[in-house]
Amino acid sequence: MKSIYYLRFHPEITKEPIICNLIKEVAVEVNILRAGIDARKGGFMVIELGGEEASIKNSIGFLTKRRVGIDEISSRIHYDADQCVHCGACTAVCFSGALGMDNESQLVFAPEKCIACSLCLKACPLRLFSFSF
Amino acid sequence: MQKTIKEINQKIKKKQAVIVTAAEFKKLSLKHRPEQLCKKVDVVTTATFGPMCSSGAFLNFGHSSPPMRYERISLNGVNAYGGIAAADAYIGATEESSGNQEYGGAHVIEDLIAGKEIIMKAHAKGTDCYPRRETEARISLGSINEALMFNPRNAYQNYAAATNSTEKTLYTYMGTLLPAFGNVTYSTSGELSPLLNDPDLKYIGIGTRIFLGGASGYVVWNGTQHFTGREKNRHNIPLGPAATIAVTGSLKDMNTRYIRAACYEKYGTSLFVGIGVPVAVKDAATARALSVRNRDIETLVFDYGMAGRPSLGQFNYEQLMSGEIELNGRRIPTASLSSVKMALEICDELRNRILSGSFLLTDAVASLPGNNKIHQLK
Ligand code: SF4
Ligand code: SF4
Repeated sequence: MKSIYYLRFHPEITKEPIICNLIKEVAVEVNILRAGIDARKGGFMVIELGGEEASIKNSIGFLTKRRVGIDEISSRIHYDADQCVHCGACTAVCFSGALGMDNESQLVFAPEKCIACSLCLKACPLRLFSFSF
Repeated sequence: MQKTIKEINQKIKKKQAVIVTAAEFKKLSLKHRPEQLCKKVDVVTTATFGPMCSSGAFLNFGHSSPPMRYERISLNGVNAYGGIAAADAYIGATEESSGNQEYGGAHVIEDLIAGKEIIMKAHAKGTDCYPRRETEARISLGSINEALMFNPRNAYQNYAAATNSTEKTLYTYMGTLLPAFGNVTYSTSGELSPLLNDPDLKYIGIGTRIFLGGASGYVVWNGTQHFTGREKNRHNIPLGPAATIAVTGSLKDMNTRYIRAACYEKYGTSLFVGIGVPVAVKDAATARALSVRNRDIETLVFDYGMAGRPSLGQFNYEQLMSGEIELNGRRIPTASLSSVKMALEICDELRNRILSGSFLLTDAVASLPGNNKIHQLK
């Protein structure tokens, strides 16, 4: 099982090697997809967690205990499918594979692949994407 | 074999006409010769649904009491052109509201079609015959006299694709162009597109009845920047922006399914316009032209990052629609800005209207000009 998460780091917790400890303590695969953290200002990290359901649950518990804000991205990105005209403009900027066109020229959205880069929010001329973090 | 529009219309009225969508016709053309196709099929419906910036609407608000010549007009904060008579105005799709860059003339048009109320404000200097100097009113499509979409340039016959060689993201009317050749965007419904199915403008002319945003509308003239002198490939398809049409129809008969406001980041607003054109299969030559496939339609890829937008290569739409092309040895993802899915839907919808007898074909009253030149501002 694999899922992508958005992590928020408060400046106070940037001294601890949290991801390193996570890997040591929980048998979980961590793939860092994007990150931007400043020791003084804090920041964010987008990671993919892979492994047994239990280890993913334990990872979330581990991170929450260390005051890392954690959100599963797929449940935080919203796409107003009813309004979509299937123009394809959003697919021009999505490199995670979350947005693509199928053989019927319809937009297919796979939120579980989304890495929260936010590019589609501005690329969609109808503004059909939003995040609720 | 030669068929006239009159004969085809008679068959439509008797429910004997054979009408197929452009997509279906392409499939038939794999199995049958143009002569056979002309015997088998009477009408082919073609369509496009893409952002068309050169769009707008003439509105007549009705006179106020005391009378006023609305000179400076805003609709939900978007300026409308009031320099025509007293109660007329033109709202252009790309005019942006003063307070909100994401709301523009295109949105006013969509809101009107949706039946929403719009706040109209107007100022005037006041004259002896039009003394009133200010007004504010709530208007809607039902409360105003005419609402006439008039789009000076729509349904471009082919259009160049766009990419970006620079290190900066470019926000353009061709969408978001990512740095270092991050993507290529293009805008056409390709083999479904009206003017690509009638490359020599033999059927489409002044007076051709069309599907416009859900209404029955008309081609009223050639569009602006109409350029039939563009170099053509061996399939008789121009290699870039060529013919265009000016179209008109009543907003009161339109549907927001087929007219949608768009907003391109750091560019501004535009209007998705759904246009369908039924092409009468009058003879074998028409059938041959209607058999054009995406692989036969080629366009150039322009670098929007360089002055003069140099061309980087020539590709056909089968390649562009495949999701990636190879440019200078690199695979670059491609994306469309025009909706093929909506074009297919309009082809279907128009076919159904013709089948039901509610939409008849027209003979053009005059041809669109051929062999013209295009000027640049000096
Ligand atoms: S935010 Fe949008 S563009 Fe970015 S990965 Fe997610 S779906 Fe794709
Ligand atoms: S850009 Fe917006 S309207 Fe176009 S396909 Fe993507 S979600 Fe749909």
